Parts: sequence; structure tokens; C-alpha cells
Amino acid sequence: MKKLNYIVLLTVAFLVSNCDTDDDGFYNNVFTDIPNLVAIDPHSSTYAVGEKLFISADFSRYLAENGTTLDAFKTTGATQFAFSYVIEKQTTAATWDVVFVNDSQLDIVKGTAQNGSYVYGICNFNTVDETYEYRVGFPLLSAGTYRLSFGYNSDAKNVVELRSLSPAKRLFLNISSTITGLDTSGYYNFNVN
Amino acid sequence: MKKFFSLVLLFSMAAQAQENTVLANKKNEIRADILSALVYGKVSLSYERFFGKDFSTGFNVNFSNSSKLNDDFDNGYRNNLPKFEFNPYLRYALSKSKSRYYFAEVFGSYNGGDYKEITRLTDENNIDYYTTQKSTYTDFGLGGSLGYKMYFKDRIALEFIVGFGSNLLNTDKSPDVISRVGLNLGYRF
Repeated sequence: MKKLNYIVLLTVAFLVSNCDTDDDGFYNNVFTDIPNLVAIDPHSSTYAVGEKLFISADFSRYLAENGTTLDAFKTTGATQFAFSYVIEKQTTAATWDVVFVNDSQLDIVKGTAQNGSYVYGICNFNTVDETYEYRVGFPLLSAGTYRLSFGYNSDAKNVVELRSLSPAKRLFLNISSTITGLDTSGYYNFNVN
Repeated sequence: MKKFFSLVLLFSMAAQAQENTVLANKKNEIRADILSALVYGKVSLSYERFFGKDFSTGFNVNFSNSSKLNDDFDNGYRNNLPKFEFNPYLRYALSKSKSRYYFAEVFGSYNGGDYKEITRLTDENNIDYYTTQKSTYTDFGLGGSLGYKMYFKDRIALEFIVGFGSNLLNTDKSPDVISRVGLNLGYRF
């Protein structure tokens, strides 16, 4: 019985000591809303097989924010901002499957991108004009009904969420940016013929 | 048989009484927390003064320079970094034996460390940016603990203690919860 007491006391001691990080949370994040940083290239809602759907971003380090200017680079020291999106194809009336293509099939004009269960896009900092840039075309390889959304890593529907890839010990800037062309459910719907 | 058990009981009581007397004559104790030293890189030293009956009092001082806490602070997983504590306490023994007993205590805590917050500033070109600014904090808290202590050779103490409390005056900057968790090795004299 005494041994049990010791064990209980020690266990509680370790548990309490591990909980001793008091104010848990993240204290290196800054949040802001800046509209229209990312865009879907203008196009009719019908594409031809073999065409590419381009997503672009080209925004200055100096962000206009409610009548003031916010320096994203000075805040974060980041040379990259990341965001994600998903392209799905309708297979039955209620079923949408993620469209997979190899990274090598992506038409990467600016920035970088990786495709898996979603497209992970990275805007790279252009030191000449001090803008963050991204332009990547996603190949549409078969006919069908498609949709694109930016909410893979978030619950947001009408915004794309960009996050700075900041160096260690620097602040992270999280930008919610409204994007035009989405329906009320957060999808850009299009067909490929 | 009854006589045998009575003798054993008497011998046991006499031995404990002698042990209690020996310990009662030693009024002071110093301890070091080996758990905090090994796990957190924290120096934690204590002094305890024993009165008659079941009460004792003392204080505990901590100095922390944990690399994990420093990294968490730098990387933004916490906004305060406790560096020192001075914890006076009053203790009451819950068991009759002086050589192995449970105890309860109330403690105060004068504690301090570093604090950082995100601030929005405007540069000379009238352009805003965010940065983190470091400052220091101090606070005072109250709490309670429970523990178990045992003695070897009437002078070597081993003590487990678990306790926590709350900071009271400066909780915008200081940790909300303060804890006293330790595995102390001590010497009574």
C-alpha cells in the first residue's frame, strides 16, 4: 500500500510538472485581412482538355491595411508565403475526387508548388521589386466537371489563407485574403471538354 | 505467543520513540531538488526549520535556465519565461512518525522572469511593422502542497512534494499557475 502511495505521488508529480507550461499557446503569430492577394486567371467556366488552370499571386511586401501600410517582410523576415488549394473532379452526383498530377506536370512560372492531396503553393520574394510572386498552371487532362477550393487547411470559404514561412524566432504573418470567383460554398466551378 | 507480540510491539514503539527523539533534536534541514535539476536544469534549494509538535517553516529558492523553456520562449510557444522564485512556506506533519510522514504546506511565491509581447510600431517612413518586445515581470502568488518525507540514518532526507498555486498581482505577464513539484534530497542537522 505504501509503495502504491509513492507511485501515485510520483506520477502526479510528473504529470503536474509536465503541465507546468502555464500559458500555453502561440505567441509569434500576427493576423490580418488583406483582400485579393491571390487570383484565379480570368477564363470562361469551360476549359479544353490539355489547358491549364493558372493560380497567381503578386503582392508587395508593403500591404495596404485599413488606411495604413504594413511591411510584411520587416515583420517576418520571410522570403516565402505559403497557401494551399484543392482541385477536385466529380465522379458521381455526390462524389468529388482530388485530382492528382505529378509535380513535374505543374506549369511553374513563378514560386514553387507541390501536389499531393492538395496543391501546396509557395510565393517567392522577388528582391528586385520587393513582391511575393506565384504563378502555377494546373493541367486539366480529362473531360469532366471540376471544382477548386482554398479551404483545405482551414474552415474559411471565401478566403485564401497565406502564412509566412518565417525564419526561426521571427513572427509569422497570417493573411486572410478574399478571392473573387468563388461561389457561396467556396468553390470555383468549371468544366473541361 | 501474546507475550512475544507484546514484546515486538514494545520494541518497535521504543525504537520509533528513540528515532523521533533523535530527529526532534535536529532542528534544521537543507535540501536540493534533484528532479528539477535533472529534468529542467533548474537549481532549487530549500531550508527548513523544525519547531516542536508538528510544525515547521522554511523557504525555497529556484533559479531556472532551462534550454527547453528558453527555446519555447524564443519560438513563441510561451510568452513568459520564469527565472527565479522565492517560496516561503509553513508546513504541518500529518503523520505521527518523525522519520516517515506525510505533510501539507501553504506557501507564498515571489517570482519573476522575462516576458514578451507583440507590438506594432511605425518606422521613419510611416510604414507599420510588428515586432516582439521583451521586458521583465515579477509577481506574488499563494498556493498549497502535499508531500511525503522519509529519513535514512536520522539525517538524510528524501522528500516528494507536489503543489501548485496562482499568481495574484501581475497575471497579464506572469504565469497564471505556479507549481512546486520536486524530489528533494536533504541533510538534517
